[in-house]
Amino acid sequence: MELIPILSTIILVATISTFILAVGAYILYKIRERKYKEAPAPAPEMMNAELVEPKELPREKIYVEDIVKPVTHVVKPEVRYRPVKQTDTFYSPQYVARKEREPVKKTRVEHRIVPEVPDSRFLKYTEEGYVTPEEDRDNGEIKWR
Amino acid sequence: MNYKRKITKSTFKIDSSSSNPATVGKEWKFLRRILISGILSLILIFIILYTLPKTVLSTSSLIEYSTIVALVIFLFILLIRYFGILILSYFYLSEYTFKSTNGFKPFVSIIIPVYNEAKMIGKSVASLLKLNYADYEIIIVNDGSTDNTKQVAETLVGYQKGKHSRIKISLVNKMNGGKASALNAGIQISRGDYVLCMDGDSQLSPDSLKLAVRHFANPKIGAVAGNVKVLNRGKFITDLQALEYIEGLNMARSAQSFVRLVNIIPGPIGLFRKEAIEKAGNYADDTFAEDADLTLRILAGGWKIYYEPKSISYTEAPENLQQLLKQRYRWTRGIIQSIRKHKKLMLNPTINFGDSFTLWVMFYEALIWPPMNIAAHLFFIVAALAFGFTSLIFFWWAGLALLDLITALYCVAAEKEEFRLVSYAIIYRMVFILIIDICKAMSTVEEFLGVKMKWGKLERIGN
Repeated sequence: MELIPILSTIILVATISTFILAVGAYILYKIRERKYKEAPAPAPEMMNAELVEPKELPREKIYVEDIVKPVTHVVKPEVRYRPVKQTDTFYSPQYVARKEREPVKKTRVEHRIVPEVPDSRFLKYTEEGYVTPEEDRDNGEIKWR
Repeated sequence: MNYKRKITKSTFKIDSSSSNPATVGKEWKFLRRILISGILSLILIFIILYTLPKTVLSTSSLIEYSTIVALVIFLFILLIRYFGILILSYFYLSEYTFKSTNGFKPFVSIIIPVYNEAKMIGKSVASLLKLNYADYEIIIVNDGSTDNTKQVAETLVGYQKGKHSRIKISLVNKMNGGKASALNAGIQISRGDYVLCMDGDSQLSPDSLKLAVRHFANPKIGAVAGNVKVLNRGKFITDLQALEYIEGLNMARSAQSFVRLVNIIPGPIGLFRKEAIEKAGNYADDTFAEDADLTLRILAGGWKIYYEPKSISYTEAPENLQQLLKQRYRWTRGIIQSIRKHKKLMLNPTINFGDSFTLWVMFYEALIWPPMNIAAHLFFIVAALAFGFTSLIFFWWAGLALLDLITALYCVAAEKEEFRLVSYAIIYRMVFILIIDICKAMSTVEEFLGVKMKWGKLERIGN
């Protein structure tokens, strides 16, 4: 059997059904509406209304900081470029050879003996170095560092 | 920190002099209409029967030819409408993409009219506190709710922490007077020069206010319409509505925005210049489509209206057929009431050509298109059942489905929407639009017969 006659029959049945459904639903709607029909009360020319509103807030309380402000422009982090210092040195083969011949300067390293300081807030300086007040409680007043 | 404990209560008077029942049924009016249309039909039938023997046509051939002519005209109008909207919408999106208007950030008052929205109001306010905007206030107008909306709304009053500042939330409790009167009460106490009107069940996207308000830098713009999307997707009926909002409503709005003549500022999101609303005479409740009525009056005042596709409002769509029909019934009758209210402007394009053009487009969409679509479908049913031309209906469906598939693809791509919605285009016109058009046609008949109606409240799911 060809496809078009089958489809045509389906569409024909669907269209007739839609017609019946639409008219039926409309009649049903009218019947239901009639059941609940009430006479409208005449409206007066002026009617009272109650206005419930909050007390006016000062402007600074309306626009508060805890509410996110609209972003109007994108703030880009400022990037600072430090200019690179250029030396006047000209690296020629002669310069490099001279530098290689020069004796390397010896740097003096100082070795200081740093007394061990106990980890305490109040210390007393004595002949033996820094001592805690507990260690030197009998040797006079506490000195603030 | 919330400053809601420091609240004050005061009373004020709302001017609701425009609060009238929308339709007053008068028997003699219906009889006159039926009589006039009956007489006109009889005259037409008499002319046809009198002139037919004088032509080469027989009665059967007349029916055959007239049907063919009617179908050709129908297809021609369908294609012109589709491609016209597609091209204008494309122009608008191109213009929108390359246009840059930023930096206009005035104080805005957001008004939420609520009636029995206890389930949704908290979520709506929460979405407003996430707005990417600093200068705004929220005014909830409780229109005499019968549930615990008042208690829920009172807990929200105070200075709540927004995204960029503390947002003042006020509440107006008034007796029930309809959406228009609730919005007017909110506008009356608003402090901003710009007001955003939305629905109690809608939730705004974070950038919606910031993107919509920038268009007011142009002093000719009186209002900006937002983009409404379906929130509760995942069901067959809500997914079809999601596609309809994208393909049927937003694409048309884009096209209208290219000429700055958006004809309906949607209820879930509309931003207005307060001066434009006040000059137009505020919201009126003599129609059931107060948003369409106000839009037409703003256009009549010489203002331009723009559409901002990125100002998104997510709203709950009806989840069953009964609720859907209830919504569409109100929309259709409301739009017809608005057209009738402005028929002077429609019939005289010299007063305001833009408004006149908009009204003719609305007239066509509300009154001409639905009967044409129903008649075309009926023709193919009769052709198949009575004459055996079954294959005709297949080609008819294939043509329409192809057209809808292309449009859905374009719209989904333009709005960066869910791709799966494209598949619904196959049954969109033959099932969904047919149901909606039958409802529209029935509502139109009822409107012309003057059948009484009341504002229907849709059931909220609160998902």
